[in-house]
Amino acid sequence: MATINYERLQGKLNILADAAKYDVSCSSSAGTRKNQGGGLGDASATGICHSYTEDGRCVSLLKILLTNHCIYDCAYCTSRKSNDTPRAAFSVEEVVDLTMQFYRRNYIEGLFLSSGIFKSGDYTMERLVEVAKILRTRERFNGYIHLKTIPGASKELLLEAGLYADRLSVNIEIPTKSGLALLAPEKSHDELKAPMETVKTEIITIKESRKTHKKAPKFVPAGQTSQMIVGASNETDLQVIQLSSHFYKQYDLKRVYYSGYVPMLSDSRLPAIGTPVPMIRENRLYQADWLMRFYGFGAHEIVEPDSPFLDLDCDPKLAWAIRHREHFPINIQTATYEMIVRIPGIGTKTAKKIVKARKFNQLTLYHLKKMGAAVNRAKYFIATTGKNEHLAHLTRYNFRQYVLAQTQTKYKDQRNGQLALF
Amino acid sequence: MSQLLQSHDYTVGHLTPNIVLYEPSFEGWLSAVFYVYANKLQNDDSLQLIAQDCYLPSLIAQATSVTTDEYNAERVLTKLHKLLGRSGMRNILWGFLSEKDNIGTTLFQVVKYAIDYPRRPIMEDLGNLNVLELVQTVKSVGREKHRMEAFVRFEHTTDDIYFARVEPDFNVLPLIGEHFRQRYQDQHWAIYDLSRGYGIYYDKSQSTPSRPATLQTITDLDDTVLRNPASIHSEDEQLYQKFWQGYFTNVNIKERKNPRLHKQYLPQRYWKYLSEKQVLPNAEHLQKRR
Ligand code: SF4
Repeated sequence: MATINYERLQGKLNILADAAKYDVSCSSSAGTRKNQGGGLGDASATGICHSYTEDGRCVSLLKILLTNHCIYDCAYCTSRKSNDTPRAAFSVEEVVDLTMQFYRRNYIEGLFLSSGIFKSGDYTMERLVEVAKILRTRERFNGYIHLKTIPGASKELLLEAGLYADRLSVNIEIPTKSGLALLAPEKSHDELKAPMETVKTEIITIKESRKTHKKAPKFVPAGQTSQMIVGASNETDLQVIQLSSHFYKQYDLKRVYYSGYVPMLSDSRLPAIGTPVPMIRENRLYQADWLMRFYGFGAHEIVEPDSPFLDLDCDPKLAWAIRHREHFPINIQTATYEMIVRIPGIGTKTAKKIVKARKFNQLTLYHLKKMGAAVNRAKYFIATTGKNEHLAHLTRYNFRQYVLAQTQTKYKDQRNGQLALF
Repeated sequence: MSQLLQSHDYTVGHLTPNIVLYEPSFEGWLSAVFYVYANKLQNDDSLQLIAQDCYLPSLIAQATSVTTDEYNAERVLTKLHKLLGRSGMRNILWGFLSEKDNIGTTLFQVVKYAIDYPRRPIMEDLGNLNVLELVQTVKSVGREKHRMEAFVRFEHTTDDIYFARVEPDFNVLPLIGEHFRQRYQDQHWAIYDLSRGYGIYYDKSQSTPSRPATLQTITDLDDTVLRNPASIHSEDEQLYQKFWQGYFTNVNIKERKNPRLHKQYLPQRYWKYLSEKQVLPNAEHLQKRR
């Protein structure tokens, strides 16, 4: 077994954690791996956030780069060749050891391993696969493993990676082709999509063979995801959401992550250092994404071509409801579940509760509040048995301003206090 | 206390007691439920079921202490299982572990509702205030359970046991054991609740290839160790705590710093036992030196 240099490990870990921190596709939910007796770990539960960084983001995985050396020069990336930054590289054994030791102490749910490209795509990918393989076979580790596929890595390596990893992801990086061409001339959308196609095809093939051969291997049981950076080039939200929708349909992606660009490099092609991180926009994109995945909204309903950006003042569901007042008020005693989830302030959980509870009771605003609805928003859009005096406002010509003024403080809270920064 | 013991002497029909005290265990509460029905007190609107150790004697209320009776408890449990099903029983048990002051009464009212309307899926009737109260309590208990599964920090000791200290808001140790048992099958570990003075222990040598070991209850741990676990740290423990601290510090994006959100997700009352929080922000080992 290769020896580990503990003296230097701390420094490497600090550098390579820092270098990986902008990657956001790190949730460990949707794992399906069970501890088959005697091993360490179990990834069958929904993901657990073991800690939160000071920026309020969940820490559930050991998220590191194998190395931040890179032969590429993508403008938005701190690991790019031309950036002057301290470089480091882990050995395979060091990553294995950190993962096991952190897992044993209940710090993490597993490993998220990405890397800069040293030497070549294949050379790098081989090492990522080696880490996963040792963890699964020698260490009998059943925790969660997410590997980033390295651009240019061969199909064979991708397929091997998928046997050990719970999830694979390919970053699309920049949502528009022109943006990517400008910021990462060595990459192209078509090239980045190719591995997605490979992984998707293999998932389907293995699923099929598992129907007849129960013992057929699992292949990325938690599926594949992607990430795009927003705010580094001048893409619209319409473009972003359409691309996501395309990914969900075309490649059966489990999730698309959005990462608001953090300016940390001076480059004439990029927003200047000091430009605020587009946090609200990022938040709105996630909300829009939820609407597509859980609320039955189509991409075309969320952003309409004549105004291709999401409303920063109100969440996309409220914005949709305000644009489409013809659907309201909705009678919660009789409406379908699909319509009830479209009421602003009512989430899927509350909607399910409503559908159950209304069999016993005529529901009032009070009940809705108790069930967890944000009544301060919902009240403008629902008809209940009693008289709802808030409904009178639905026909106001300045309804949008009125609703926003009434719910503004709540919004600031919901945006997690970010507004106070600006 | 002597007052409480004497209260055994109250007899039904003479002075109707409206407070029923139970020994603070789930069986104790079940026994109290049995007592209420046996003495036909269930329709008394002022009836309260209170854990003995939470009860402050008052002049106007009449209190009866019920001793735990395993046979009666078992009978009630069987009946409730039939009425409420697995998930309903889960709600009752989780609600009970909240240790909230009024939970004994709330649970009783829910049970009574179920007995009065045996055909109704009463747990779905959130318009009933007792059901609603219970469901909300269960939610808080669930949140605490989840937080404990997340915030337990094992420290490796010289005995090769991974040891964690916790002080949860509710009595969630009985609820988290299974999670850790499934997950940590190949190491010895223990989680100790300091505020309640007991813990759970997994001894991996008792496991078989097909089945993880059963959990044992531990009590009366050495106070000096509980106050200062560093005294029993294995050789490597400090090293990995430092690695974790360095990791935790360096994944932070300072352009997005948001202390309010940080505290909302990671409430300060848990920090005491989080290794990543036991370090000064400018400590040497957090730096990106090579
Ligand atoms: S290839 Fe990856 S690591 Fe290298 S510069 Fe581009 S984004 Fe950064």
